[in-house]
Amino acid sequence: MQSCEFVEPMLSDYLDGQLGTDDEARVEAHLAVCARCRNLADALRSDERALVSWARTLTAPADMPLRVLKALGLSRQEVQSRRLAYVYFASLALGVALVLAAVSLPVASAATILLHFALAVVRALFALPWAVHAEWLVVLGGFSLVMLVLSLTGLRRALRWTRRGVVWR
Amino acid sequence: MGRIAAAESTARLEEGGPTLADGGDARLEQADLELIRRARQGDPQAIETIVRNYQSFVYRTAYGILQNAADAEDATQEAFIRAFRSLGRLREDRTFPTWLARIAVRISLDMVQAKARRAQDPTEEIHGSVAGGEDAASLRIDLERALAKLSPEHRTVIVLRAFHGLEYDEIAEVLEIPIGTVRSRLHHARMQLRMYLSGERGDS
Repeated sequence: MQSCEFVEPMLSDYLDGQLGTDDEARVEAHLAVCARCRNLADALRSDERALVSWARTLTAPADMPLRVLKALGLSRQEVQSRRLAYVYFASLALGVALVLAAVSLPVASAATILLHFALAVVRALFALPWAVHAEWLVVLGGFSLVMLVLSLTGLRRALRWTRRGVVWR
Repeated sequence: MGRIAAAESTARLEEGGPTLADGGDARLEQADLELIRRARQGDPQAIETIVRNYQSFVYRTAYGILQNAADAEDATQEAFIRAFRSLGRLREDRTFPTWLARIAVRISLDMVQAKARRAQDPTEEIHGSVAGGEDAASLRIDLERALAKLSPEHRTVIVLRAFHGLEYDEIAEVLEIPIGTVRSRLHHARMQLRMYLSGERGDS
């Protein structure tokens, strides 16, 4: 029969089914006659069971996916606000591109008018101090500036709102 | 999604099955690989699903090592963030579970070290909240106390083996240590845990 000193270090492997058939048989033969080692093996087994059932009670917070997405900058709110910004700048670019396209097309008479208009605006802006008679141009320039500021402020508000708002749940 | 993700639902002790090391192909199904591929491209839905599938595994690992819910939550979040940020560097998608486990263990052990440097006793909080009570609760408290007395390395092997039922070769792969070291570490960890538990409960 094997001594306790020989068997004890093998118990962990034995319980995990990691021993070869010979060693397993030796351990079992010893356990059959040694109450002390048998108790130890039983206790180790019940420790393992206790650990398993304890582990099952541990649950990650339910909002973990959201936390991870947020930290990665991929939460729905952030994606939404980013999209909003894309849409704004895309429309801005589209507008500029349309004006440029219209201007560069020689056949379009509307484009020429637009060009003349734009040139007039620019010229008026430069000539503003001297061209007091063109008040309507000043009004128009002021109006577009106000519109630009308003739209930018609105965009900023919208971005902040979508970030703060709970869109996820 | 493989043993790691399924670990929470696995009733086991002496249970066989494919291993992370040699049965990797059977482990992750096509749908899981597709999820990882989409997550790599930054698909929020895929990332959300992966976190949902693996959060229990990562959280339990972190809790087992850190012995504290708040720290375990932080470690879990950090592990996922680090995993998704460096997903591009993962060569074999099939090894994702092992890889994630490695990240979780590393982060938890780092946090334990950082805490030790700040000289905090991990058992403090546990001791403070005990008030005897039911058997299950007191057993849990005993377990937590006993685990807290083990070295972080010993806690880690106990967690990987007992919590998740990983095979020795899987543990070796996660911890990047030889299988013989896993064997001896597990033996010592279990014997120490037993010693502390019998001390706590006054049995043998």
